Amino acid sequence: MKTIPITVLVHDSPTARAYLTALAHENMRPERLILMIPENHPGTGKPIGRWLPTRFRRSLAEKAQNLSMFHWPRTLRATNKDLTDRMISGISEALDFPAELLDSLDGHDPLEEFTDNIQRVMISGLGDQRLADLLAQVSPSTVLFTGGGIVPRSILDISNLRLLHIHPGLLPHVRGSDGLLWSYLVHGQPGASCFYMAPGIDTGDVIAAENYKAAIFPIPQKDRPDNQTLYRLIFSIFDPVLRARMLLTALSLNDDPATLPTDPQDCTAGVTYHFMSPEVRHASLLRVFPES
Amino acid sequence: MSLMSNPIVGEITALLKSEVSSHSDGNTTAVFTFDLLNNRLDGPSDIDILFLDTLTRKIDIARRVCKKYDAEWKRPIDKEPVSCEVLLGIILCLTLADISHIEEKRGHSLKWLNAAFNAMRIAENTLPVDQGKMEQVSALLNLKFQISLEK
Repeated sequence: MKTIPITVLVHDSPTARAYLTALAHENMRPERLILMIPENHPGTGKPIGRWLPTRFRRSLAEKAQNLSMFHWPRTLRATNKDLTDRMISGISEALDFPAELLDSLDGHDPLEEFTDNIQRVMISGLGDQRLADLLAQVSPSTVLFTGGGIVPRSILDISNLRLLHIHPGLLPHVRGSDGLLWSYLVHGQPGASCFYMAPGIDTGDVIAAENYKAAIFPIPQKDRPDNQTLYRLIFSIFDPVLRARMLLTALSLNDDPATLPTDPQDCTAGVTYHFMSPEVRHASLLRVFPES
Repeated sequence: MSLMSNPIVGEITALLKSEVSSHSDGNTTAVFTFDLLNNRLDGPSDIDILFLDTLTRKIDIARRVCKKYDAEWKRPIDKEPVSCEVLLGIILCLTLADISHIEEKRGHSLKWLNAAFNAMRIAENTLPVDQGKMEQVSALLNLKFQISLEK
């Protein structure tokens, strides 16, 4: 197993697990993993174990995060087994990604399996100074950001820290939210891009960007789950694997992830999309899950 | 028949005309909306396109369109939400503005229709609405959306 000079900033989720599993499958271990543990419950927003000593509180919060972030991936696999199995098979084929790796997206494996060096930090959000301080300590480093949302300047401005991010859309054409669904709706196929993060939304220098074969999963009308369930399936299985596929492509370009070749983006080109309304989401989900 | 010649476009334009006379300075949302709806729906300028794209952010992310903004259309100067008529005017602009000449037109068009659907929801949930006009605008929006999907 080769240790690669990369720190994975983990927001524990199917996406983070897809990255770590894909790296392990390629015999790569990140040199460091920083697990961000939200001090407030991800579902309810309430503080977790405020009365407990720090160590116990952190452990409880980590458990709560795992249960919350993997609730839907675990539930959907149990309640929609046929569709889930078809998705795993179809995504595996379309993205050339081993199907057996998709079993690890449900968050059961201990994170210690992926690296020897794990640091845990409780945070109130990405703007928490404790996170910025910790990242400043690991600098210089290349950090793979596995979460969503806007990364604040307190992190982006840390000197000698390069943040890698994978976006589920072909840059510069598809920026912003719901990238996978917008890609299907506007371009008829999924795409993904790897770039070094910059202050704008998906505007950093691009390392790799690719379109992929469109995987589709026809569903008879009588068996069709509601759109919320289909949306959750996308983010439990498809979106994480799409990103992991792109990560492997990008890392294959150079031995040192700090010096991956890049191209600047034309920031005037493309469209920055927002989260979809129910009407547009429905139309887009029909492209991925057409009625059979 | 062109979607732009639908009678509801004229009705909303007329309603906006009476509203803009009372506040016509600065970056007043009603003024820009009326001007675009009345004059350049079939050939919006670069500034119009930038204005509409900025409005999609207000609608989709802030979930609120205010009466007046600063010079860069970032911070609201008058935080009062626009009237239902102005919001319907914005929805018509997002739905009907002819952007066939710009790059990534399919993406822009679907993005704007997405914001138009969200704006319908804002109008229904937060503003006193004229149900009849809402239904006419909604029908036009749905028709345009279907046409866009088939392209």
